[in-house]
Amino acid sequence: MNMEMLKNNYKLRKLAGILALGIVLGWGVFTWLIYPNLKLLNITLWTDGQFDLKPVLNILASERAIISLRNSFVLACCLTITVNILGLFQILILDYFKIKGSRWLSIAYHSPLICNGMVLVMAYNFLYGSQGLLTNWIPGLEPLWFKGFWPVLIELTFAGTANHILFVRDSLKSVDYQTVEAAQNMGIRSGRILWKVVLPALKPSIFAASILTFIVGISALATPQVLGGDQFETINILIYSFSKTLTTRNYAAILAIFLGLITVIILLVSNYIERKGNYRSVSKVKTPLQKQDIKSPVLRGIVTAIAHVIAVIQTVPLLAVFCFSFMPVTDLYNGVIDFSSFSLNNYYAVFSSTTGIRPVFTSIIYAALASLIVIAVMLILGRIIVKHSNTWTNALELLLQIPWFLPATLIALGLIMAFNKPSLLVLGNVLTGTAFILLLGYIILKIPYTLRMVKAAYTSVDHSLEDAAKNLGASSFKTYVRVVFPIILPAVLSIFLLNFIGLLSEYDMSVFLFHPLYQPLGVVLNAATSSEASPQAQMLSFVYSVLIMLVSTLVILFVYERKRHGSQSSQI
Amino acid sequence: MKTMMFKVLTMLLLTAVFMAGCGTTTSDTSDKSGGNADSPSQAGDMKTILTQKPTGERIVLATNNASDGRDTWLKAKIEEAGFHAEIVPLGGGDITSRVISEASNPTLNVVWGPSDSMFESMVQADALEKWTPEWADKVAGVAEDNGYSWTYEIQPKLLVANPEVYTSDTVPTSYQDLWEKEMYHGKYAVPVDFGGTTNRAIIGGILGQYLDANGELGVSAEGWNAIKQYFAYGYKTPQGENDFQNMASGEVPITFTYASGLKGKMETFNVTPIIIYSATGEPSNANQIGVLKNSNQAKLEESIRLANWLGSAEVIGEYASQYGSMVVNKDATDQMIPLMQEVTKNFKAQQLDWDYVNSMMDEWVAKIQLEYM
Repeated sequence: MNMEMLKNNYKLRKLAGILALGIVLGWGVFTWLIYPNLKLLNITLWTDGQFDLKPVLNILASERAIISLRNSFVLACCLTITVNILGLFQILILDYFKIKGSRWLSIAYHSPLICNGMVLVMAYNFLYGSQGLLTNWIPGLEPLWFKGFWPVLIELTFAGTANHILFVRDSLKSVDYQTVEAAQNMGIRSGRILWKVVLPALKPSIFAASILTFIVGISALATPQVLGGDQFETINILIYSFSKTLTTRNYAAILAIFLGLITVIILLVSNYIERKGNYRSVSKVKTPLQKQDIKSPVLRGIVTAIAHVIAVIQTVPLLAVFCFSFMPVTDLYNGVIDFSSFSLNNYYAVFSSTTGIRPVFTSIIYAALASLIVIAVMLILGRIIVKHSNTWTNALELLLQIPWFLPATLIALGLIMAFNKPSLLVLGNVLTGTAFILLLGYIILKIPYTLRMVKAAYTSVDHSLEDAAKNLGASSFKTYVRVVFPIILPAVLSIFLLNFIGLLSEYDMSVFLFHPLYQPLGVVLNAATSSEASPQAQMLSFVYSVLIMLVSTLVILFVYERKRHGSQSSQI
Repeated sequence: MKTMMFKVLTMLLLTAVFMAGCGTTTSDTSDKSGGNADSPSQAGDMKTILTQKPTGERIVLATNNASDGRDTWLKAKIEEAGFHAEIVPLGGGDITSRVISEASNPTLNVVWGPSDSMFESMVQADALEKWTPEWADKVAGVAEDNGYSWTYEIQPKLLVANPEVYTSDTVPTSYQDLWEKEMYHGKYAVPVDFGGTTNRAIIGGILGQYLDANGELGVSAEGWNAIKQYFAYGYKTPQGENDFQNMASGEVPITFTYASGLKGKMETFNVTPIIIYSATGEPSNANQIGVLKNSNQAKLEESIRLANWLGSAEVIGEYASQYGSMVVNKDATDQMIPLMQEVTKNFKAQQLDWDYVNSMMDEWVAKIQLEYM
């Protein structure tokens, strides 16, 4: 009888817990992800209560739109392949093969973390573009040699290895060396070991990185805009330009839905595959990986050369940005470097403006807060999704990926439309005009990526460790804190890092949501460099970029220090 | 798998229905509060408001006139005059979207710089306050008087050509020349993005010449053909190149600019281009200043005082002399730099139904982007 009551009590409490969780989750997902976006789609697509079919027909009839859509898809597929090749090559060079100069290579291969987005594209352009430095230096080089599909693919490939350097590399490091040794003892050739033993162990993280790369490819904007030219336009260029003007937002929304449909299909397929083929290490006592010699001297020479060429390609744009920040605009557009005309004028212009470098601090605070909150929330939701796979959690996962389907501009507009009047959903508060709404926007923006990476981290945790802890009598909470969390901590730090860096100079969303007294970097940067500003003022972007690179470097060093610390203590 | 998908879809649908219900409740509450915020200020005491000294209330001033150190100049001037303002540098389009989307809960107080058509959409969104500056009669007739936004400068768009490639006899005499005469094919820059006022005015200036009530989107087939050829034979300056630089170097020897940008660009690229005055006149717009509605009466009045001060002959005249803008306040025009005096004398505003042109612009631009780019 007593047992029965206890059991019922437990059941009741569990039910109440699930119900409470369901309500909180339902409210959160509905308020932040569904309601604003539906409101936006409702306003843009149903003018005067009627669905206007004309934009859809116009888009379908437009050769440019269809070709752009196809280009985006092709780019995403190609990019997934090239980034994987480059990324895997890089991590093998850093942690699997013995190659001379690995310290310098390691620094160089981290450059996509420090310099990316628009800044990197501009650097490529001023180096290799029609009036670029390199184009001018090499006589007889066709001015438009670096224009079109290949340049776009190349730039995005070299800029896109961050996930490999951070996540796939972590799983390479945790490959059990005993498996490699066993294979060696069986006399298997080293190439085959790599292919059959090492790479399969990386499958979950390669898979996650591939999906992220695909999304980067399909939503590419800045790179095709600058390096694609007429020959290679992608769909986001059109979406972006339509979302800027009031009456064409319906076009942007429709194109975004097209793009969203492709992404949803890819994600559904990937979720399916992911569930089918989970691959886990069976070893309980892992031996750290040891670096391998490449036996053939010729092969070693070739690999070393390629490794160093890649390092140079990745660091040159960084150095270029640094140089550009001292140059007058005319030299830049003429494609000449004249050290005698270097000056601190651009720096002076930034520091003496009314906003000064305050925006840098504003952005650091926003980016840090948003990155912290989003990872905290996603750690909980990710755990629920991974532990309890059912209809509800599947739906939850899909809903959490909504921000991937819509351009940031539209998400921002949705938030404004939903919360510029007192709303019951947020206890009758008005959110526009407050400093909070941008923070919320940033968090929403980073949900899909964070969830995806957190999920990948959870799946790589060995279940038997958890089971062991539970068998020893640890509560699930204690198991989580003492066993699971330390294992995924390196991944968590990396996710934080990438989110933080990505938000530092965010513009599309910031420009709509920022509080006038707290201007983030992206907004100031863009105002200084817009077409309404003079060409000279556009040079300020390089100064801001140098500042961003500095902040990013400091944060990376900090995170790596923590990571090193963390792995040491977990080894003890 | 199939049943799971079905369940997910059902759930989504249910949520959508739930949201529809919520939507109505929220809009109900908002209507009530919206009514409170709209407390009208008494227009009669405009004079008393303007004659009062600045109170030092903090005003948020958004402007697209902040680059090149203009923000520091403005900030110093503002403080000198006894105002306390936070300057927010933003593009004209960004300011407009923001003002409209925040109409019921504004964060900005004064807007300085966007064009008359941008202000028109802010007025339509019911975001602005009616006011009359002391200098209203000095700028009368430049743009339509709507009672909300007041013109301080005009911004004709000028075709300019490289003086080493062309002489004043060989430059095109109208926009039509660009695509009709083969000698200019590939020699002129065309707009590539359409968010900015200048680029939109260029498009309006061309299509506006072919208005036809029976044509597609109000433009005759001839007009659409003209714009198609304009883009087909023009050079689409990619990001990372500068059209003015291309003009100066002779690579693409013809481009266009807004008048007040001329001084800075000429100095930067060290070139004195031939300014082409088109036979059909220059597309032009008026840049204005306006005050946003605010439920805080003290803030509102201070905002009006600041806007009035900013557009006054003394301040705007000094601005013109420093930064080469084409101001319209009759008491300030003699402070313009010689170059702008000359342009003011020579240019002829293109006579078009600009209200209609601006009202159609978004749809025109959408068509151009989908079909002619």
